[in-house]
Amino acid sequence: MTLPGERSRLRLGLLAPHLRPHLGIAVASMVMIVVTVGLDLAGPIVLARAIDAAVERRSGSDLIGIAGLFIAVSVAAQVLSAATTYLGTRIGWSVANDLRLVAARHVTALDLDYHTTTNPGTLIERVDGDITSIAQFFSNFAVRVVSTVLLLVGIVTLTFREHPTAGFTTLGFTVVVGAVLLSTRSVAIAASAEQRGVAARLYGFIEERLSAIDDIRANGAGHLVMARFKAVMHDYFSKSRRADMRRSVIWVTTIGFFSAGSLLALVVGTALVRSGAITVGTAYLIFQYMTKLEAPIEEITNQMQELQKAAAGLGRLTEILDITPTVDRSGIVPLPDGGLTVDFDTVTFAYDDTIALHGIDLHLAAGERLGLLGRTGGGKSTLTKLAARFYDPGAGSVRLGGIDLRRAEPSSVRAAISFITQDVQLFEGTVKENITFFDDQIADERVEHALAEIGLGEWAGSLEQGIHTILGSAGAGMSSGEAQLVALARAYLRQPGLVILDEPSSRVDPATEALITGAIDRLTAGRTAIIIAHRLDTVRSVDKIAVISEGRLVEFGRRHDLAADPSSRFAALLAASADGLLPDVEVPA
Amino acid sequence: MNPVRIALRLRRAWPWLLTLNFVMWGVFHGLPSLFGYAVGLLFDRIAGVDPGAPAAALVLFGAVIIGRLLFFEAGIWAFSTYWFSITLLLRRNLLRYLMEAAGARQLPVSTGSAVSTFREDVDDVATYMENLIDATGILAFVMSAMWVLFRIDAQLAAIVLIPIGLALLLTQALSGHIRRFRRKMRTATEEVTGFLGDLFAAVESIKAAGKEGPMLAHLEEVNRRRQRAALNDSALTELLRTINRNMANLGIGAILLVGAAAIADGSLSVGGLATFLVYIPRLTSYMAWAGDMVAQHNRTRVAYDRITRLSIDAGPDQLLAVDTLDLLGREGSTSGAASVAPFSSLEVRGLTHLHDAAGSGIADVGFTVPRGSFTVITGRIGSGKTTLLRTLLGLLPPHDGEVLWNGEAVEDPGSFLIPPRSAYTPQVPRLVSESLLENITMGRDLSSSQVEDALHLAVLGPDVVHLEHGLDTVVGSRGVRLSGGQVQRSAAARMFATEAELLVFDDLSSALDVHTEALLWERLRERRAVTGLVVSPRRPPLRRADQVILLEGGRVSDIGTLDELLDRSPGMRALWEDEEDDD
Repeated sequence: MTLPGERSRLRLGLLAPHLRPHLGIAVASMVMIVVTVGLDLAGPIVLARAIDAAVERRSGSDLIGIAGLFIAVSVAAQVLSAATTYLGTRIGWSVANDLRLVAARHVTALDLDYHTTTNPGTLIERVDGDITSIAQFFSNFAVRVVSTVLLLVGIVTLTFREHPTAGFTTLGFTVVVGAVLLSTRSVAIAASAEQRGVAARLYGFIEERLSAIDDIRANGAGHLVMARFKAVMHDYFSKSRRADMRRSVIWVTTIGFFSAGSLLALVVGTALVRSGAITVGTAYLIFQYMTKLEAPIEEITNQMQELQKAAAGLGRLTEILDITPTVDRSGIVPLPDGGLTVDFDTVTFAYDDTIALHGIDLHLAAGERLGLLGRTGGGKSTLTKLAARFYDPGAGSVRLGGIDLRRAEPSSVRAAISFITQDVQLFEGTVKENITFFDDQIADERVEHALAEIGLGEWAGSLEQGIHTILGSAGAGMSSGEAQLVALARAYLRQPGLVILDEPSSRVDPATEALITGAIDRLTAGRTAIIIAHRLDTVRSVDKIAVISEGRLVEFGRRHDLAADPSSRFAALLAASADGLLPDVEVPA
Repeated sequence: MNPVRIALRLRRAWPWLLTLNFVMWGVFHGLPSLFGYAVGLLFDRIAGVDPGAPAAALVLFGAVIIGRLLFFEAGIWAFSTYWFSITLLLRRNLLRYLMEAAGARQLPVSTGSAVSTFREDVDDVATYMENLIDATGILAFVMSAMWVLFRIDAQLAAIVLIPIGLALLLTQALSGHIRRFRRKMRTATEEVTGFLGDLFAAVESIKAAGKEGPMLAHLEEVNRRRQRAALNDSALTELLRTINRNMANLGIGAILLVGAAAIADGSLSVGGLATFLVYIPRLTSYMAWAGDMVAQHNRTRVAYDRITRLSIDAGPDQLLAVDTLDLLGREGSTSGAASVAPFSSLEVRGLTHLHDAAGSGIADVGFTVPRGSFTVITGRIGSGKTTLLRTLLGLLPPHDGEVLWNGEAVEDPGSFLIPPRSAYTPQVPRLVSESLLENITMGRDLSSSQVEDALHLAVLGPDVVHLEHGLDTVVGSRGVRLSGGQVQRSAAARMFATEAELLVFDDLSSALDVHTEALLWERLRERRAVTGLVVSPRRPPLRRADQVILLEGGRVSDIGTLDELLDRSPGMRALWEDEEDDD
């Protein structure tokens, strides 16, 4: 176990602000733990007195007192222990939820680059799985480790008080067994890692086949999948069992040592009673305490394993929290309302070392609509992302409404722009929640109005519960075209000054397409718009055309002029288009 | 289904291994009853009540330790073998049912929660078997411990039983609540992880809209719900544990109280008392264990319900099948499909599927697809095109109507309309994390010329050349990411490789550019042997169609050649006009 260094201090510092509000309860829990352990240690002493009373055949009234004391002590210990566990769990959940929120806020604020390279599954694992294990560990760790250590110290001290030999026995046993268990732990860790690996493969296989269930069934490949599954199961079976057998070494060691410990306590007790050093009751006490050591020592070794898991989780979480968004948010100049002018002044931008845009100069008047054309990967979407300030340019500047985005107040930038992506992500929630992003400040009427304006009123009206109809997270019951319409409604609701739209490149059916065309017209009316266009319909309605190739603006001008010039790239693209779509290929001018 | 009945069925799988487990763990759990006896003997001897040598008692104690360890190591082997066998059996049964059983099989839950049923719910059911194995040994311990205690003092031994009974009754009374709390907790957790997934997947739109605030507020809300559920669950669990342990302490207290007189007059010796004191904590922990077992009984029921729900309509005969002979092993032989009578026609009569919620259904659809023809189903969004294909293929359950193959009614289209009769490419095809070749063959033994041919037809050849390892490149979610068009053409190649007579496509156009799609149709058209049934809104396939089926509102509005429909159907004309055509 590596000792906490600079990094670990940073990691634990992460938890401090979330733990602070619970300080009172935490202190109370600690007090309760001390009392609980005290009561726990008292139980065997009371019983030892009962044994002595039995040896001496003392009168019944003595024993009745002892019995009453025992019941009181143990009931109190149990109730306190339950209460502390509950309080610990409460703190744990509260801290976990706080952390989850912090992490989720941080992750959503990160650059888009990060999100395109990290899949949501991994992030869920970080923000949910790792945080849960961290919080649960700390909530239980405090209770368990503190009480375990107190119990160990108490047992060793109390046995020393009875007789030095007995004291050395419990102390020596604790040290030896602790050392042995800690040293065998690595075996368990390796075995568990192997088992997790084969389990991941098994469930990965199942998960993919379940996703592909239609493909498999309708192509009659069910029996082929099962044949393949046999081999996967075989591998899982043999490796899992091998891991179990490797781990069993530790279990055998543990059980062996603790049983041997009880025997040792009995042997020492017998010898001491025979020499007259202790009473029979004390011999019983030593035996009892030795048995009591088992749970805490096992607990500590378990918690060491949990500690490693939590530390790893905390490390991974810190790594994410250490990533900082590159866009600086200190601007204070608000963007003006209404249609915005757009100016790219000799803008150059690079992702790491790859230059994506070279000296782009592009200007749009307020209310002008630009069709952005060019091959995939040529720099179109980078350009739109700079306009939306997902990134800042490396050189040159991007101005909206005449204001350099670096100086603009970030929330006013968000408010002024609607950015509609090609793949629209829908949430598991109602139509309204999908349009408002769960913003419950927005009234139903406004959403319905936006839908009606965008031409979706009829569609929304046809839903069973109107805008309160639940959509699945994969947008169950919605085509990609309809999802795009939801995104247009999202944008319309916000009445932006600049609309940035990445059209879907694939075809939707004609009726939906007509709806989309209408919605785009209504959304962009009177607004400045940058549209990455794939459809001829769209290209025909814009004012200006820009063609981007390999990061350079190779053609920019009024649509009419370019279309009329047979030597323009735009004219070539129009000529090569088919079936209502522009070709997604380079066309020589 | 009652877990006891589940266990009775599972008992028939690996009966000898199960028996071995019962023996091993029976001895392992039962042996410690000798500890209490040995401790009693020892204390009587060191207190001088019994004249014998204490060493004998110590030797007995040591012997029990060694015996127990031996049985433990062997028991681990036996149990590990049994556990992994039985859980794999259950998983195999469920997967096999989903993949191969007759009827329509749509997952009623997301893939994520389906996998958690494969994982946790199966474990929960198998844990019941584990509990039964342990129960034998524990029962052996309880019986022999009670026998020893009754011999020491029958009255006191009877008193020990009172709190045990009480604890069990209380646990029973609370078990319904435990089940409910667990379920709530699980739902709340799924809500949180589901929302996080949505949040991260849609981060671009959220950032663009500046809506991080309300999204995070919603996260806070679902977080809070989950915390409440978790705390309720934890409170109840702790309450139960406290009751169980306190009942044991009350037991010990009661022995001291009631036994006081017996101790004073010497009828309960110090060894006898020590035996009571040693046995009671272990009896207690088994009491808590029994409480857990009661809870597990309920968990098993819930878990089995979930497994059944996932399978939609499987019964115990399928889910708890015990055909273990061929469970593990190398890949089985994947012989080609049986030969079938040559295809002459496919007919659909009165086919109806009522969709729920927002989806579109179909009603009373009928048409005929003759061999060698090319049929295009077209219509506006929501007109039921995809639903029609899926119902026809038996992927969705038909609520009425029938499908006829060569004039004979097909009883279960799901298991009948498969290669070599028909093959299918869905609108959004799924590939798995295997090599491209395996995705295309789906594990069938195909010659390289068959594969080449499929690649050629699907216009996938040039793409394969550009992949680093060619056909051996691992694709899918854990491999190389193919573009949408490549995935769709791979799926088409997969379909061509089956060499089925009837090819069913659902809208190839959604990820293919016009030129590639045209090339694909052209190559396909050159083959006289194939029959095509295709959903498409595009002009090129419509022009190639021998018949066009126009769907409106889930019903067939018209059937005919393209020219006929353009001539007489205003709906078709509207569709055709909406469709840009610049080639």
